[in-house]
Amino acid sequence: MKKLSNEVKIGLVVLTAILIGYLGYRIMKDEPFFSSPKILYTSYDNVGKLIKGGNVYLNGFVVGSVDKMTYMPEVDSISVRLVIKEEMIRIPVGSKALLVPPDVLGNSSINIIKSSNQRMINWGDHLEGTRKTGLMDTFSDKGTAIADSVTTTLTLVNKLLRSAKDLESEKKGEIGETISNLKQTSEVVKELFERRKLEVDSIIVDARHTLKNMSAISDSSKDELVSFIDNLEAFSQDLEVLSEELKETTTSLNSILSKIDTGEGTLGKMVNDPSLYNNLDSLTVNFNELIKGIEKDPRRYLKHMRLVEVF
Amino acid sequence: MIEIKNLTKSFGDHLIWKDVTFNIEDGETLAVIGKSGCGKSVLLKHITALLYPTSGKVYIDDHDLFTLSYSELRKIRKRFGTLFQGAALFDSINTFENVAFPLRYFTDQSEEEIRRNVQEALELVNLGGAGERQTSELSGGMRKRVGLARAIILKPQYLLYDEPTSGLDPQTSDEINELILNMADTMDITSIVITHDMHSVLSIAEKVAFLDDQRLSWFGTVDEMKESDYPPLVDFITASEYKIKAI
Amino acid sequence: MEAIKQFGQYSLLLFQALRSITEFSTYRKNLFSEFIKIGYESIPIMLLTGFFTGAVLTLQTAYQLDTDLFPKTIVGSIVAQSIVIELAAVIGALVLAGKVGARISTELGTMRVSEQIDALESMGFNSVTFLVIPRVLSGIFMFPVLYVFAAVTGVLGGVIIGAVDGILPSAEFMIGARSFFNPEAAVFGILKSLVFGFVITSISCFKGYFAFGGAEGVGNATTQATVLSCMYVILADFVLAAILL
Repeated sequence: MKKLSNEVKIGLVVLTAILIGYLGYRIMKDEPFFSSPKILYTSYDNVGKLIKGGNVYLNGFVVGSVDKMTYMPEVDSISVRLVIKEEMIRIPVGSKALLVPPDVLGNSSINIIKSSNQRMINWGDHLEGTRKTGLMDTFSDKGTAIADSVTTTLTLVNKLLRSAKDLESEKKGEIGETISNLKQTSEVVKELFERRKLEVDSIIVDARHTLKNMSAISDSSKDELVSFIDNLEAFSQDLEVLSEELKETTTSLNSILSKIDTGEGTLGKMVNDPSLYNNLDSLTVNFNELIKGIEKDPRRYLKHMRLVEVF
Repeated sequence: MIEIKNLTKSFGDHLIWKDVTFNIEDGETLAVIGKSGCGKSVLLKHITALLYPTSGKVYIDDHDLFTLSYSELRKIRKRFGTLFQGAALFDSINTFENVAFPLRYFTDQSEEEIRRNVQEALELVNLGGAGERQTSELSGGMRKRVGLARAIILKPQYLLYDEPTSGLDPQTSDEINELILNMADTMDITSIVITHDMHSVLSIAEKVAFLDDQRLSWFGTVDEMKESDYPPLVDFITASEYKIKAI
Repeated sequence: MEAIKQFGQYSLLLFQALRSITEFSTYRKNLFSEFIKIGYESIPIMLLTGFFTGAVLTLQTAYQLDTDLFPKTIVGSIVAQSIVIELAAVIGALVLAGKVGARISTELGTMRVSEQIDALESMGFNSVTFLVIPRVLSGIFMFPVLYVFAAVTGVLGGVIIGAVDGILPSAEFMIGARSFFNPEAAVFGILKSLVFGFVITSISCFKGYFAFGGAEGVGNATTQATVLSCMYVILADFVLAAILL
């Protein structure tokens, strides 16, 4: 190789430094190397822990990143500058920038939801910003809602059952009405339980899915998530048992009602019917336990969600 | 002409010499002798203002050396060539470049002229073939001769020699002495030679300055020195002569 | 007293250098050879320094933040930011204080005690122009260049060791690195390395230029040059941080 002269060496060194410095800078800014970056703006009143460098997705594909965020005091919201590095991206007018709250790894991101408009936006335009509740938000919101509705439903049922136990002190004419009420209620409760069970089951499915996708998460977190899912499953099973029992009760109540309708049997006979009594009794015990548990610690079934949210 | 007037130098509290006064006429060769450590080299460095005195003046061709601005001083310095004790060759460049060094920076000579002049200077000091050698490969005598070639390359008016023969064998010393004589004759150079080698003094000098007892102890011609019965000078000379005889 | 005298001498030397900075033709050749010695020949050690600084920093950061309280990407943020704003410049400068500073002070010290500087002066050269200016200028120009090399390889070292050692994937590292990256950090790093380049080369020139007392004197000058360079690099780092951050 021909020996390089000093001037050539110096030139090479300086040029190399400028080149790698420039490339390094572009990489750090997440901008394409040799073309000017494509800029989009959006804004949110709350950026939900979004950070600079957060990914921007289109159709689930990373197309750019968050470049800069500025608080605008006059409108009390945050302007977000997005740099799109993908060359071929075309975004229709009216598309929305959906802010996705932190996933289990704590990374917020922005999802561009394309509109069906034929016209494409120009670079530098403003996209409308919308927010979405995150996985964890869904977990806790749904969970709380279920817990609350279950609590109120069960309180109602318990009250009814108590009055049912006090049948002897009730007037004869009211008994049929009460039983009819009880039947309706238990059907409503059963239906409610079944619907809740579906929801809980879907949460379980969600959680399992998340668990599967979280290869990066540490063992201890994994354990917590697993036990959280176990709890949900137990809860779901509880609900199933209860709805089964309610089904039986409904059947019994049906038969009693039909007997009363046909004038068959007496009130004493009905009251002394051991199967109905047993049914009602076990139901009451079960409900009482559940209610006690939920009232004592309303978040019993949700506490693991809180732990999961942390990481 | 170099005039030295009432020159006094001390480093801190340590007095080197005081009230040194003598003149060097154009074309003369002056030997400055004295014991080791008496300040001969220090005196030489005052002549090109490498050191500044505590008091006193030096006139170079009527220029008051120590009042000159730096740029004027540099002009005066170009009239001098100096052969340093260790030759002070630049070790980052080869022999040829050392000699060519002043030419490259102070003249507009073409590469060919530089080559010719350097070769001429090297031949003058009997080192015609040593141009491409690294200075570190040279022997002590050769280094001094390269230093001399570099000192004369700009054809200076004054040549200063700091111990030109110290550390050399007698034969090489003679060669150097011969060169010094040669320079003085052929180039009409005024020379100041620092030495404690009496053999050298006798062969090259016309005048002698004897530094002793922190002052200029004795000043005169070589012939006067030979006749002198000034005890310190006699002691110095005899000590040297014993040495010469012993060899 | 001695310190003030030294500072005065140092300032005077720099003033002399500054005064003759226009005599470009005198030091042009030396400037280029110093560019080579300070810049070109220091690249390998800077690449090595940068890479391992980044690598070690990544390992250390990951080790200390090994909890689930932080997202892994924070490792990238910490490493990249520290490298760009601080470590590439400072550790690079400390390494170069040893390499460049020691060479300069030994070179000038040897020239001083072997009377080469006197020889230059007696020929009518301005030895300061000839020796000090090219070295200090090279420091000022080349340290930022070297900083760029160290910073880039530093971040690269972090990315690579993070991926190889299974700490975090390179993509996550870069997300973290980007989220806290601001161009001012790089500008600040360049400015710092420029100052360090001046500090190291000027102190080493000063110590070497005024060396005395033979081989031992050169040794002392070199030791002092290196130690003072390191000290003043750290001091300058502090002062710059206080002023500019």
